Amino acid sequence: MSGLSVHALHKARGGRPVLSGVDLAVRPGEVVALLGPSGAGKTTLFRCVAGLDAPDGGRVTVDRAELTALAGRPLAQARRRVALVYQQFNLLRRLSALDNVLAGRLHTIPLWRAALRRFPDADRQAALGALDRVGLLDKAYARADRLSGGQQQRVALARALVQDAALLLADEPVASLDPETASGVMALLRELAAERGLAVLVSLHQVDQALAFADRVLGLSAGRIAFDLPPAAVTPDRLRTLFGGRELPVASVVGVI
Amino acid sequence: MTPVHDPASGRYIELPRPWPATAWASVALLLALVAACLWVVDASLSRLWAGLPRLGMWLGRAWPPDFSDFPTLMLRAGETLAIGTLGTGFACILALPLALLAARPLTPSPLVRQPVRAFLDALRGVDGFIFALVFVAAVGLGPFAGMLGVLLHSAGSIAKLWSEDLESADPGPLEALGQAGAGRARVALFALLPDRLPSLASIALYVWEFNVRASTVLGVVGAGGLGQELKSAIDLLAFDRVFAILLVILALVTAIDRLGALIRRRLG
Repeated sequence: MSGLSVHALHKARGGRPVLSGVDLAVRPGEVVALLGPSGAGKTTLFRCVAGLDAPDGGRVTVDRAELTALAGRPLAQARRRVALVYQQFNLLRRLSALDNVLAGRLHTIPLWRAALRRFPDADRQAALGALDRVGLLDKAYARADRLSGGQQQRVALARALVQDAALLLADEPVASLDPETASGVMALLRELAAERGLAVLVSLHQVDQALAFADRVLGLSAGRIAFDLPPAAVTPDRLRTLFGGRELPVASVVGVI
Repeated sequence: MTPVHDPASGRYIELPRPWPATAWASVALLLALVAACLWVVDASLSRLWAGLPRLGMWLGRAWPPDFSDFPTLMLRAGETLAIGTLGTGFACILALPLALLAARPLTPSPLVRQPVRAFLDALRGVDGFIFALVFVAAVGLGPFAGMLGVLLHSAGSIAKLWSEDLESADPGPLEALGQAGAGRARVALFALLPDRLPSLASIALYVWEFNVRASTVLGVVGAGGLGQELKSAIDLLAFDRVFAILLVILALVTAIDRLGALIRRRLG
């Protein structure tokens, strides 16, 4: 199927199982939130899905290409369809917002163009369009490290857009943003998913953000999917079980539900 | 001057952004500087071209390398290694208090820090070669003078690099200890030095590698080591022996660089 599908994913680190048979699917245009206590395996799951780590067993399919069956150049080509957004944004700090977005097109241009920093007109138009879409056209020439956290994350989203990704993996994308900015970024993420038919898998530790913005919520616990539910069906009881009754900001959950 | 969207064409219009005058001025200045330097060093391609045959002739006479006096070469290599190692070691001992006195968080008073820094700059500013020349006059020819020269120059370099490293330490934990009542000296000795130990050791190793390399030529001013043999071989136009000495230098320097890199990696 198109979008993302993960089947029976296994991964051990240092002899200790981290993922023990994860099954999940994200359809194009769908935003799926991944919740789980630290150590549940969220980061490992992301690294396996992104093709950064090779799983010990199981299948990862992105837009009909099975990543786990590929190697070398075909794997690199398939991995391009997966865009990553990080908690710390990972922008090139000294480059302009526009250059950071253009970096999403680096794989399409010859080396001499990269050296001279001359992208074809179509790429520049696409990058400017993406910046415009995330509301930062007026910051195109501003250096990335002069932008606020929310603006930097918007630039990272624009970069994911021009990369022509089928799947967007966002690892705690709003964890270092204040709540209001975080909601803005999450709302934008949701709009972009719908507009571009982008499958979005986003790990969050703010339960209220997950319930407010996701189409579905997955609970990851001890390397397995503990539940897969629409936000309305995620009860405080389930969350308390998922987080072992410790890390959960119960009040905020009850407030949302 | 940000890009604008033109609804008529559906395109984004970017106006050309010319280089600022300061950028043009910098480039012009740089070119002028290069031209002036070329004039000062009297650079001449034709002289280089004319000299090439002579170079080729010497190279021809350098083969095969003359290792006939191998024990002496090894002795000189040992001297070079000893000069670099002892010089760096003693320099570290001298540099430690100086580094603490030159680091801003540990010595906030500029009345102490600035003179110490000036002293370090003076040590650093004079090459070990020149110190060695002075010590040859004072304590006589030989590796001891070389070691003293390396020591003085390196003490300045190491103290400067160390103090800068100490200044780049994360101030948060130190602030926490200070808040808990510990004085600066205690914090430095108990917390800061162990915290920065890997990078301080890494700096010392870099300087050690550098000093072993530099010590290979100290003999040219009579301060012992392989340079001594090198100079006498060149004076005798014994190019096969020069070549042998160069090979020994290359082997020594490579071994030291590898060893230093290995230890630095393990320091993490």
